[in-house]
Amino acid sequence: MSIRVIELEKRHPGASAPALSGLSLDIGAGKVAAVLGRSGAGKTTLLRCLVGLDVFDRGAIEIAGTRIDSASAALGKLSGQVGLVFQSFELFPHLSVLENCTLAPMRVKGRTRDQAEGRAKELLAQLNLADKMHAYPEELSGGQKQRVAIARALAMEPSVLLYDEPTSALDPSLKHEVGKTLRRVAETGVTQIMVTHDLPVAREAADVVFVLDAGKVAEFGPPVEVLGTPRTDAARALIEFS
Amino acid sequence: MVVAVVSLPALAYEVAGQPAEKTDTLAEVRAHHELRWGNDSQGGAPYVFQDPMDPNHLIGFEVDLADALAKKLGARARPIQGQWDKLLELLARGDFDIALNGIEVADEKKRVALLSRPYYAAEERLTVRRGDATAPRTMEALAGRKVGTLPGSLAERILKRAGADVRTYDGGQNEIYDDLRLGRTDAVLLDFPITRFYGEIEPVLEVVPGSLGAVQYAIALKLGDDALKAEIDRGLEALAQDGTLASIYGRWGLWNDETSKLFNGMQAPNVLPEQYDAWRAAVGKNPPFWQRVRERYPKMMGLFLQGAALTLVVSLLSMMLAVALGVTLALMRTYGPKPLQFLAVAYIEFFRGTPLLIQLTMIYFGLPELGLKLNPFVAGWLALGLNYASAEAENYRAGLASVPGGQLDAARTLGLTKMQALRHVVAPQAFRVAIPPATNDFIALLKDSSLVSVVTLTELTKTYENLASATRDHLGLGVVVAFWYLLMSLPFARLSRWVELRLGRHLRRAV
Repeated sequence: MSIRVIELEKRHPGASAPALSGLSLDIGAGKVAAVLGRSGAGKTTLLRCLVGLDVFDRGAIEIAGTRIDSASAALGKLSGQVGLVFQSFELFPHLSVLENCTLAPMRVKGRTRDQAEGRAKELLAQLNLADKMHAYPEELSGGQKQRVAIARALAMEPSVLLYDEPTSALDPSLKHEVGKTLRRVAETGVTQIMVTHDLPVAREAADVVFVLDAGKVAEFGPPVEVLGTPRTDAARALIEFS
Repeated sequence: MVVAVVSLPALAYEVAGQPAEKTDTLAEVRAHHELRWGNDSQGGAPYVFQDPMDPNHLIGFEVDLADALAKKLGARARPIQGQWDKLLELLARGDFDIALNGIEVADEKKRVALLSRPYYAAEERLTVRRGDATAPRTMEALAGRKVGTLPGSLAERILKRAGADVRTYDGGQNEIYDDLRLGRTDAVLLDFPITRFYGEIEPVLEVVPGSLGAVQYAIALKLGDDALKAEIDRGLEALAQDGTLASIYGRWGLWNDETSKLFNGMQAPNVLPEQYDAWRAAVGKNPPFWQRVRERYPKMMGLFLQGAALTLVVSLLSMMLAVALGVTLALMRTYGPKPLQFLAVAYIEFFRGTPLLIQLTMIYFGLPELGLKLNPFVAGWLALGLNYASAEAENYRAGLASVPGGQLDAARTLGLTKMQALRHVVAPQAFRVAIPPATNDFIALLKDSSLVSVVTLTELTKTYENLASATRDHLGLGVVVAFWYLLMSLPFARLSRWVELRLGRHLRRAV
């Protein structure tokens, strides 16, 4: 499903400058977008607003034709539509891999245990985790934890899946895997947005790149253009920095 | 053993100041054919105590008196256990119909209770170590000497007037005479019955001839119970006339001229002091420990079992209340809006920062002033539960704080409501952290539950105190009661370890 963000504004209580100041972007269904920018550019705030953990002050978000404005931007409204893979994954340590993936479908969507487990097993198999179903998060490697987090989010059948720094907690040798995983998820039609500092992953996996600066989009386009021939200082600074 | 009860004039005033409820206890006694009489069997011989030969029975000259008196009223006597210095408060609360347990006739008591005609008169007698040349044997010699007695008694007042260094004991008579024997005090001044049952039977002690004062015992009734008082007075007269009273005092070796004069020259009894002799034989010297283990302690099993059951039930129920309330308070404090946070903090600080005994006293004796009269079990359960909830709240707060904030965020982004997230994600992780301190608290509660003996419940500790006092076997029975407490606390320590491991199975398997 496509996602549109329209003129989003957000100022954290007590902050001197707004975190988002009229940010807009548009991503087509099934596309993978990378959101880049230096620290403080508004990347994390954008993610938290999209997933409903933060409430924005003005603007709107449209997902699959459903419009959410600042008044209705509560968690309940977006839940299920937008999933988030946390930087530190935040798997539930007291639940097995399978239970991590069935908790929300059973409690939120009212699925039976059989239904929820059936779907979770499918997802875990797709993500090469079939043999880890009964393991606990502590027993998994970083890459496995990330894939469980993805499976857990996908189990809620979201239209949009967000990633916060998907490569930062991974061993360098595993970073390559992330791109593959994202492409595989894209085939199912889910729109994906990753916030990242990692330009190689953005190049490899993204269809479109957004560079944020001071709470709005400074530049966007295909990775080859934005990262190859940057037009703005913000994009140039990123490339030099990396 | 002489009741002081309300040594605090302020408290006496408060109870007396209550609007006199309309009571007709006499009608109730007649209707139920039951006379409920309050006493403290820890007080010991010869008043009311557990038979050292068969601790399942309550004996004493006041037991015989209560039985005979109840019969005159057409009722059966039912003894109710109450802490001795609280008897008049318990009586005012309506926990029993009369208090009959060596209660001294004194003016300050007449403000808080009705007193019957006296049923016994006794001299205050001095006991010293035999052969102690420097021992005080006269009123004049008492000045500056260490002398033991019971708190709030006439004996205490006499000693203070004489300028003695007064040592008072809450526990019972044994300790008072033990300290004299061990040289911690120079003398003991107490009522004749106590002197006879604890002083005279000790070969190393000597009761000094001569009286230092006279005391009278009366039965206490609720203010306003004049009809019952008249009936009790008539009953006592009748028992004096038909020889029952004299025979009771005679069998207990307590017959004296002072009491005879109380009842217009009541005739001396023609009976042997068989109960006194039995006491002397039973407690003069305890048999060796292993013999007690084989012969005496098994007979006490039933009493200990009852006490342990009460301790366990009241502790378990209190812990349930404490956990439920503690979890609520911890959630309020951690996730609630400001006013709820404030409320939780206020609750926790109040109940954590004030003594449990005061909370229990307020609930049991204080709330009736506001019209809420709880039965002893409920009051004990509430006080323990409310108090321990403050400790539990802090345990769970620590547990909640140990769960990273990202866990709640993750659950929320999956669409779980805040309550669902707390219940399925945060709570199970927090719970595991809170289990070890909660177990400690439960074991502490198991022991603190001994406080409910203040509100007439005979739990394990009170059972021990009563039995130890009746048999003068503090050490041996101490081992027995310790065993009972461990029997209850050790399984819970094991259980908690098991639960902790189960909830932590995701950690156990980790590398």
